[in-house]
Amino acid sequence: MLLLILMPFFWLLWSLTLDGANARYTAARVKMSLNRAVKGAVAAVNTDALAAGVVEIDEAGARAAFDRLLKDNLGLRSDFSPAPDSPLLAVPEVLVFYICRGPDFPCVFQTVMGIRHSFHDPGVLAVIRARCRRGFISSQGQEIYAYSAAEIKRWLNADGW
Amino acid sequence: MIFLGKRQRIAWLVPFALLVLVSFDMNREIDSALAAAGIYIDDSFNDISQVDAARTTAEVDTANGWVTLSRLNMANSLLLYPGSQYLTLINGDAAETYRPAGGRMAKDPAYSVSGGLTSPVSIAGHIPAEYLVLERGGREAAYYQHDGTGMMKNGVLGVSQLNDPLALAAGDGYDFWLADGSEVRSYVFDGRGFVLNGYLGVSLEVEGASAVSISDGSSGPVGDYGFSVVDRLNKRVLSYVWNGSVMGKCDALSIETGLTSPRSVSRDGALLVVADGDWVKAFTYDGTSLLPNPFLSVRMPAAPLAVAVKPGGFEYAVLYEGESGGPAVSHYAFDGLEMREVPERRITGLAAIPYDNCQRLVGKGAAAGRAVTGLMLVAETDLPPGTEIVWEVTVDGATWKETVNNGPAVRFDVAGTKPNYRAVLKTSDPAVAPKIFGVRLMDASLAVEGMRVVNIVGPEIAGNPPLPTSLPVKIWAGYDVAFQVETTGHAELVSAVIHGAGVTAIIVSCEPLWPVDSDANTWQGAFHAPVDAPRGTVLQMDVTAVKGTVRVSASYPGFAEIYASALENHLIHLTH
Repeated sequence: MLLLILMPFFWLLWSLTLDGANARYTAARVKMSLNRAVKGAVAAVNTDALAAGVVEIDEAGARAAFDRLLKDNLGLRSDFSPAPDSPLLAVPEVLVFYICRGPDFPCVFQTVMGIRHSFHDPGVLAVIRARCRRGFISSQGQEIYAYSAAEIKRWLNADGW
Repeated sequence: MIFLGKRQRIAWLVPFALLVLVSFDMNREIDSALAAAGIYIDDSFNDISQVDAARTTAEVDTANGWVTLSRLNMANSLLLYPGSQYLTLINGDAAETYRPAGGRMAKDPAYSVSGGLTSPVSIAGHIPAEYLVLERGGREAAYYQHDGTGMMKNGVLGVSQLNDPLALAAGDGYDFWLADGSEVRSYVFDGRGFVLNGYLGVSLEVEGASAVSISDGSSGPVGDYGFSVVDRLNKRVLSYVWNGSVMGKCDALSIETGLTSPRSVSRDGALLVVADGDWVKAFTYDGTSLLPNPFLSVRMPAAPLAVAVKPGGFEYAVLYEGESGGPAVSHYAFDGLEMREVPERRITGLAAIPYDNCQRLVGKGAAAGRAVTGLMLVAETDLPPGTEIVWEVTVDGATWKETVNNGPAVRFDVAGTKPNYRAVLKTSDPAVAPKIFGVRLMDASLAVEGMRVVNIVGPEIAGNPPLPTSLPVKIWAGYDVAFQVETTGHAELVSAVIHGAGVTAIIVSCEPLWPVDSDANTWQGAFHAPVDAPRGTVLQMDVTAVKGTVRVSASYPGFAEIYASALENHLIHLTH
């Protein structure tokens, strides 16, 4: 009898545990997707400038790479609406997409949201707001903010270049 | 040696054979070294090995090592008359007739042309009252006759518009032989004037100026019509006779060996006299050939310039540079034992023989062994006032272009392999002449060379020395590479093609660093190493320079290697 009384309680407890784990997983996936998107944006360098040895992020190319990688990693359709297997519940909102070209470094970027970031090389900073699925019990989902930044720089390898 | 075996004798010869071979190779190396340095001709005129003697009319003085104008050829400037003691000669711009008077030779103004002749060189006739004068300057043979008071030019008789008149000799009657360039022509009087006898012309098959002297042989022992001519270039005297159908060379009356420097010939019957070196050499015809006649020969105090035999007698007059420096004429007669000078018939105080004008110096040319499109000439010269040297160069022996000594290079639109030069020596003052002490003909062909990489992105790539780096260069796919090339020969356009396996050919139009009006220039170009070029790709560059229709290329295979991609040279990292 006691077991019958405790079963719903344990069931609820278990569900809450699963929901929390799923929420953390979803948030991590959004962050990881955003990380990849900003890395892709940073990689979209202007080849003409690169030919002369100057690293310059191409604005249009960076945004295109960012959008494509974000869609691919978050399971979004071409209009950014979530596909059935997407962890998102709605179209994500890109709050900040900032390209830092320099030429003076370090370059400090600050937003009204309180984000303050220092660039030491050309880079991209992006902030998105996304509404994600929460889990099995909650049907309302959760709203998360993700913030990523990446930079690109020449480096010397073990051969000395 | 006679005690040595066969093998030992051969062994004894080996060192000498090696010495000969080594000497031969050394000469060849010197020639090839000059050619490699782009010097095709370097002549200081100590010999005539680099001079085209057949085409050169200027005097090449190998003893002094210079080339200058020769004096006018006076080989036929003396004239003796049969049965007369008159003598007519060319003296400066006059034709003067002398006769014995009071124990010396006195000028007879009545039979003289006192002046105004244009570079007269030759005289011919049978009596003092009528003679032809060959005026080299006026390129005509003018007829002068006594009109009762003096010698007057007959405006009707004569031949003009000659090409390169050299010598003149009278025939039997109203006819004469004329050496004009490489031809000897016969002119006869047809009742109204002198006309060319086309049957009796002879082409000597040697270049002009070889026929420096001519003598009529109509009264000779062989044939019924002919002449003798000095071929100075080949050191011989040739005789031609009419054989009934054509003029043919007569070996029996020709002297092809034994002469050292023949200048003048005069013939009368079986006697043929040649001014050769310091000698006046006499030859007599014995029925089969000409034989030297020492009794009628004379050694002169100076090289004889002209000789004239008196028809019908063993006498001749000789023109030579006298001891006082000026020309003189001596008269020789046979005294029964030998030829003796007749002192009272010596003529001195004649005007110095002027320099000829517009004479050529032609190089022998060189086998370049490569296509030559440009030449530069540097000569050491002496140009007194009033003198001039006009230079021309060629790369193929056909197209000649005028150039300036030590001036800019001459360009040719069509390449050749036989560079050569020629010069025309000129003077407006017959008393002075230009001199050429040395000539150097150098290559100035269109060429492209010295490609070097002057800028690469990421020069710190392992293995690249500091810029401008030596080849091959390790470059990044995706980075620019700048290079420079040197051109000579006034290149107008320079382009480069870079290609390699798996790489689409890249065409680069280079830009000159300086205006293209200079002979040598540096051109710069840059190309973008394709970002997708595979690592390890070896690149080749073909550089082409263009000048008119001439194109030259230089290839630089493996000048660069794709070491890595430019994208691999960057690190992308998350900072948040």
